Amino acid sequence: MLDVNIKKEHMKTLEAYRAGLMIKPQLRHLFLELTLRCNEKCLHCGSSCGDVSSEELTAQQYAKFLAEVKGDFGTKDKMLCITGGEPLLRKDFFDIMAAAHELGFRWGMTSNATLIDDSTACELKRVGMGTISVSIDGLEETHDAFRRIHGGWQRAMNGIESLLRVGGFKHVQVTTVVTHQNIGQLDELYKIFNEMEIDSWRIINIEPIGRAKQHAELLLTPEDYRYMFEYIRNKRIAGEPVTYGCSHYLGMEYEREVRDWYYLCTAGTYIASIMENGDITACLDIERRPEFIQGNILTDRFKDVWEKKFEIFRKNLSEENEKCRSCAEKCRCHGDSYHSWDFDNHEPQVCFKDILF
Amino acid sequence: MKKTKKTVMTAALFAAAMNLVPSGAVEAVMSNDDMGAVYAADEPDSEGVIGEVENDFQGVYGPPWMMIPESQWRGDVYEDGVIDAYDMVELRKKLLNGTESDWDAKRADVNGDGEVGISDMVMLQKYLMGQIDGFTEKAETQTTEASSEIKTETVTTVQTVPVPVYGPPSMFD
Repeated sequence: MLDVNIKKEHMKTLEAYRAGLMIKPQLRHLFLELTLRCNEKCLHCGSSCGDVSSEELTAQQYAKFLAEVKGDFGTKDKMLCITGGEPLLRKDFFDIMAAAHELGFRWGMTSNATLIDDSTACELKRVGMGTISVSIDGLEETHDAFRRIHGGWQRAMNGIESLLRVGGFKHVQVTTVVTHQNIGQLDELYKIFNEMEIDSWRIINIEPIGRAKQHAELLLTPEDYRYMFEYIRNKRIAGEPVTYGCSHYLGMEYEREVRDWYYLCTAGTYIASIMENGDITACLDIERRPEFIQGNILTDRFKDVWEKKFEIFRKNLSEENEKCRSCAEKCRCHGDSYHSWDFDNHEPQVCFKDILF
Repeated sequence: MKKTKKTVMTAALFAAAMNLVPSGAVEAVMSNDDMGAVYAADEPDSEGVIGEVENDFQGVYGPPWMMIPESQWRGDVYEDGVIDAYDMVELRKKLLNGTESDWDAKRADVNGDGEVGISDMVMLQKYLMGQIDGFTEKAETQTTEASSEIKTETVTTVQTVPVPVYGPPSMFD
């Protein structure tokens, strides 16, 4: 375990920094949900994507919006995070991203990679893609069952190989959502990924949001959580590019050990998102309730919304219930990640107190 | 999977914490109580992995650059806590070879125009010669007027590094 006193000092600094961010947010990551359509129907999908209606913005509307964002915020220190659904299902995907690239935006994407071959990878490079995170959620049979697509695992692996073969991307990452069913496959997955020239392997736990709410059998047990974090830490001790995601306060034992910095939910302070229909919100993983829609880029100027609204995301959730209010860790946790907060019962759905600390 | 300087340094940090490296190296990493000093270089001439770790601790294990006042890092290209001739040498290397990370580029972007170029070297040189007392746009303007013979045109730009979509945000770099 790393030095606790140093960690405490860092977290104290971070707490003061967070307080400043709440008052003066800094837009850094702008998520664009290009579509809700997806060729997979994952059991854990936070957006319940798949065969759903999708009121998508046009390429022209995106170009106009991004030009406005550039004019209002500039492109320096900004990153577009392209997501869906599966973004590559859009026929005008490369038109949208070419426009973003020409405007000078850096961008990265999450994808299931099933639609990526060498030709597509070359096109992605042409329109300036810097980073990509591809989902592999278990060994072949598990992955295909979880994502409800036959042959999905093989196509995704082929897609990753194409990205690596074409090269020239800043970061090719594999993301694995760990469930109670696939947690025993981490070692075998590691052997596979270790033979590939990927830049990192991100391991995250299934979240009790979206479709996963209907699949309690997939959620991790306290023992699963402890195993997963210990697994990640051991890989990092061995110098492997393995990391946990940005979610959840993990306590003094695992904070800073399973990722490169400390927990800080930046939904609404660094992060804003544009839904597929133009609605403006903070983070796409947050439960989709009407009160979280802050505006729409077709009717509102994004800069005004970012500066004059978003109050709902810039507060301490830990003040909303007695358990959190009286918790000794509330100054570091602040009620945990916004996306896993239960807005009906005003309590976190994921809390590692008594599990990790 | 790719091993990078960052992953090696992460492993070294754990090794230091678990007393798995020679005692001298452990002390260099863990003995000081000041956050900056703990993670900064102690002996720049150290060799091997731990030496490399020392030189880069501030950037990798210190707080994100945006949490530190600009006055404490802008121009400190060599990343040793002081601005001196070593930074000029390091900046020249960055101009030739490019920067490795957002944090790297921020420190080298002396004039704060979002690019790393010749104009940054000019401003750093002026600072070292005592012609300006800081790296503000105001200082640059004043000095440009006073020393019109110095060209400040940017000839080289260095792209900052995007981060994975769902990986750590840039502040974690």
